[in-house]
Amino acid sequence: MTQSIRKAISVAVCASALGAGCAVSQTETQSGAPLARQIAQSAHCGLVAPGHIHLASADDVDRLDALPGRMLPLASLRSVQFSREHVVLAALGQKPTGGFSITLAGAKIIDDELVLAVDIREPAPGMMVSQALTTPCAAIAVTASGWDDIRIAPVENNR
Amino acid sequence: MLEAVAEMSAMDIMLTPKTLFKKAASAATFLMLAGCGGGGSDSDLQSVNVALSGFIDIETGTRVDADNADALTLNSTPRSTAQSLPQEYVLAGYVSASDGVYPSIPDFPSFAYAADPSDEFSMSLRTGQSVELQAFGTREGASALRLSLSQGGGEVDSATTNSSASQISVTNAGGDGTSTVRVESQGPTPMLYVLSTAVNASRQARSFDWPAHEFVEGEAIVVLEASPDPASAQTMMAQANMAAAQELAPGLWRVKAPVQAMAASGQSAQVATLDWIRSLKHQPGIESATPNYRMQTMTPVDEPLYGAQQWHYGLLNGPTAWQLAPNAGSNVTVAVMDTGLYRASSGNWHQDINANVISPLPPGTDFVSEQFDNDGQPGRDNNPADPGNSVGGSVYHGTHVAGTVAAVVNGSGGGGVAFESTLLPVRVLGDGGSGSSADLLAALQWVSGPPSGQPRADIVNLSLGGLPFIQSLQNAISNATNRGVIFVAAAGNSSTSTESYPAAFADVFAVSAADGAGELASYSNFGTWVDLAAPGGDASRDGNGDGRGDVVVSTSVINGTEETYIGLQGTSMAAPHVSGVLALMKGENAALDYEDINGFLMAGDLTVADCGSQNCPRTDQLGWGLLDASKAASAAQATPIRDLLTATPAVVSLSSEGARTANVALEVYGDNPSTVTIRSVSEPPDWLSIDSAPASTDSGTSFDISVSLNLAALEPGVSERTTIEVEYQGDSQTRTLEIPVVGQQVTDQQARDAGRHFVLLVSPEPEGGFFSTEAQTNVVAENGQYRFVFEPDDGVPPKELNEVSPGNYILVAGSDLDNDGLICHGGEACAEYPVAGLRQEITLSAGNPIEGIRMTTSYSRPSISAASPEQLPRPDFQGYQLLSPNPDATNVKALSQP
Repeated sequence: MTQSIRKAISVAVCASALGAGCAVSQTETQSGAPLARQIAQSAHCGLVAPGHIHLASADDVDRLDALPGRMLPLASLRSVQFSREHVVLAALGQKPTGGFSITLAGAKIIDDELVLAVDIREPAPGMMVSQALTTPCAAIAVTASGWDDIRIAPVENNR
Repeated sequence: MLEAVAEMSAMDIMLTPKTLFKKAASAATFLMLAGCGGGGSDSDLQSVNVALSGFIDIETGTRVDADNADALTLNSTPRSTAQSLPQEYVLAGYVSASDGVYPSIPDFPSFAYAADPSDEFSMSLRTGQSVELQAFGTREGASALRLSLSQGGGEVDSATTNSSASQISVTNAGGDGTSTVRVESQGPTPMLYVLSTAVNASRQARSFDWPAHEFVEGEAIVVLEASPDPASAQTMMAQANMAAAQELAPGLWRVKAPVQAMAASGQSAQVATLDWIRSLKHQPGIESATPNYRMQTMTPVDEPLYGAQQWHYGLLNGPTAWQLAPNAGSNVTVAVMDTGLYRASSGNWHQDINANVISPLPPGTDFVSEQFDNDGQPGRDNNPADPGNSVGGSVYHGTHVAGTVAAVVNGSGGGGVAFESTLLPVRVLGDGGSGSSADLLAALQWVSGPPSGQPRADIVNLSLGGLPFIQSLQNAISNATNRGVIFVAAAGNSSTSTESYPAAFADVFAVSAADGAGELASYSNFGTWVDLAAPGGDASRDGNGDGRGDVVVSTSVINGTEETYIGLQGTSMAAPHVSGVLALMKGENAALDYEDINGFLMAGDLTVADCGSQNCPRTDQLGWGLLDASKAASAAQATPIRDLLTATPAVVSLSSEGARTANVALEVYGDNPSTVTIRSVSEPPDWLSIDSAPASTDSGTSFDISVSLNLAALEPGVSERTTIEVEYQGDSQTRTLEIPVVGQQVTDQQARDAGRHFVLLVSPEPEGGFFSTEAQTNVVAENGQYRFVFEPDDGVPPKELNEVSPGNYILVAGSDLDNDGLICHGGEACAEYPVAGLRQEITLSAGNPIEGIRMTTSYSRPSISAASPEQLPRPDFQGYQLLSPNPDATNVKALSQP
């Protein structure tokens, strides 16, 4: 994806999902790299509660080995260079069936706050889905600098 | 993992305020996520009084000083006798030369500490084994600690901490035996310490020993170097001193020994057979020759996972069913309409189901249309392989379901309910486990078979749901049912009584999910349309008391290609238990159809129910009851078996920290049993004693066997396994009942204790150097585990300590061994959700209870490395504050006021 396209998407996401205050936001790093990129996703992350976790080091990734019920592959998380990027796990919490997912849609920094726009999918009413409980999450690599807070903002309820 | 992050002084575990309070615990607003989809509206079966609940596991070998300062607030007298410890442990303790009061913290109550000048511990140490001590100061400061080791009344080693050495050790140089370790305060301030023995890293559980295989005398299995036509092969084999008996596959033959080869040697038939097989290996044209092993009649009971994790088979009386239905579903085809099956690059299916997957595959078994397809071949095709998810990991739902039905019994992993049945994979669910009713309709019509032909399956498992009533689907199911197909479907996981289809269709057995205690799982659907219940698991409960959440363990794949077993929960997991049992029934009586099965069901012949001559009651939760495979297998018999001996328990587990003896009740199965005569009871290995058993001529319908563990014959930490074989004579034939016995010395699971724990929900943003505690509960260890519950704030004053309002929180727990009102500092146990050092911000919203939270508490802390300069240490971290006492609350810590 070219840089110009990426910017356009970021602005669009901002306009549609993040609301006002976008005009002064930052949508890429000073070197032109994306602020965030999705590196993994699983329906069985083992994170029963909704929320997010910030992984600031390779040691943090290793600690995920202790997470009961985790099926999220850690290889892509371990490949991150933590001097340049951190990892955020955005979790939906426990869901009753298959068909749920969370995916990165865009990112920007507003007033030292890194806002990760996520696309949350859930089964439409009447859709046929598997009947095992799931714990969906997305692993997102984010720039390591230029922000102090993280906020996860759903863009839309995309059925 | 926690072992790997040990060895770090918790006083050193710090993080700069900016990173700790901002990045690691950032102010996320995630409220919208909690409410997105899922769940039903019916709440009469939900845990309405739970906002957040879960378990705290305790790290292996964890113990706590019995007279720590927190315990002394409840019982003010320090322990006067030595506290016993296992050979390997990690213990946190407290000593203080005198009592006193900690320095005050603004806006925080004062806390007092009690005198406890020394602690003594008794343990068995090997020669050369060391005991290590790490000292931790308290808010009063730091004093020296003296550590000594004595044997037979004489001190053999000692060491003392000082300002430059907080970690010391003593070594047992006096020989194996009982030692006394003493920790003494050497200064004026209270101190915490962590005491531990070095862990023997080489201690790994050995594989179970299995009895050697027997083989058929006078027979061998040979592989020919070439694959000649049968006539040429038989000629060649005759010249090579063997007679062809059966061609098993091209080039693979079962052969018999010439009579003279067996008779001439003058040896036993077994020795003669082996001599003959050795000679075959030197014959030209023979690639290999092996005995024709006589495989023992094995069932999933003999599989390694059975006793340890597959509780769900015991719950439905699987062991008895497998005796009653020895065909194990042979010649019965079960279609698993699901996400497909995992297929390795070699072309094989998951190794523990591969042998039971239909071969060759019929064409057209992938029904996923382009909209949902992600297998690289958009639209319907001939390959029902599960490609996983398009992005991220997959647990291969269909593979898990198929394993419960028909995983192979082969001495590894686990077995399926109908472990000889044939699996027909039919792919109807695509990316993320979702699909369309149109694809399901096409698959249902296909499985019913061509108009002039036979159905393509005997049983169809549908671990899927969420559809509304659709007449065309009902018609397809009814049509297939009329042709002899039996349908089983998952009732759904939304805790609702609203009908979920296809389970709620007529002619479909709708299955709700039960936990390890046989109770309806917290998530399971229920209602008048549910037919029966089966084990589906419930990770938020430990219904069978085995110390683990109740999940169903079956075949799966992780990390893309790693074939393994994992635990899942859901009515998806319950339905295949029923499909497997129906396959067992059809394996004994192929003529059974939906009407027959439904008749058995309503008569109580398929479920745990004792209705006598009355009609069995049905409930909305469990339908006609919890699945009972043994009754089902019995009902399927054309002639009732009245002389089958069964064992309760089916598997005996003995351990040094659990039961060391067991009584096994042997009873002839059924309401009208015949008398059987015991022929023999096998001799046990030296680690097991059979204290009483029936004599070789005893007759009757019930017997007892008592067994006990000989601990001295067991290697610590190593599981041993054997089988007691009881041979008996009934009306029809001589049978052998096998009772697996597992023995283990030292499993500390139930003995683990890290002291009373305070579980806190704290605000994500700290104030004044502390996270603000918003809700609190305290728990003690039971069976090596803590359980906690926070309730929703009902708005009725006073607000109880364990009541919590909707919002964002961090969940932590720990002990307060020095009674300073702070938890989680050095020398105290600490747990952070989801794992220590990684705090997730949890969003609690009204009406959405979060259950089944799990975390692990430990004295160890995350380690520091050069790769994590930003995460650690935590220089300003002083611990999490306990809530101030509230005289109106019922759940507050017994704070000591000066």
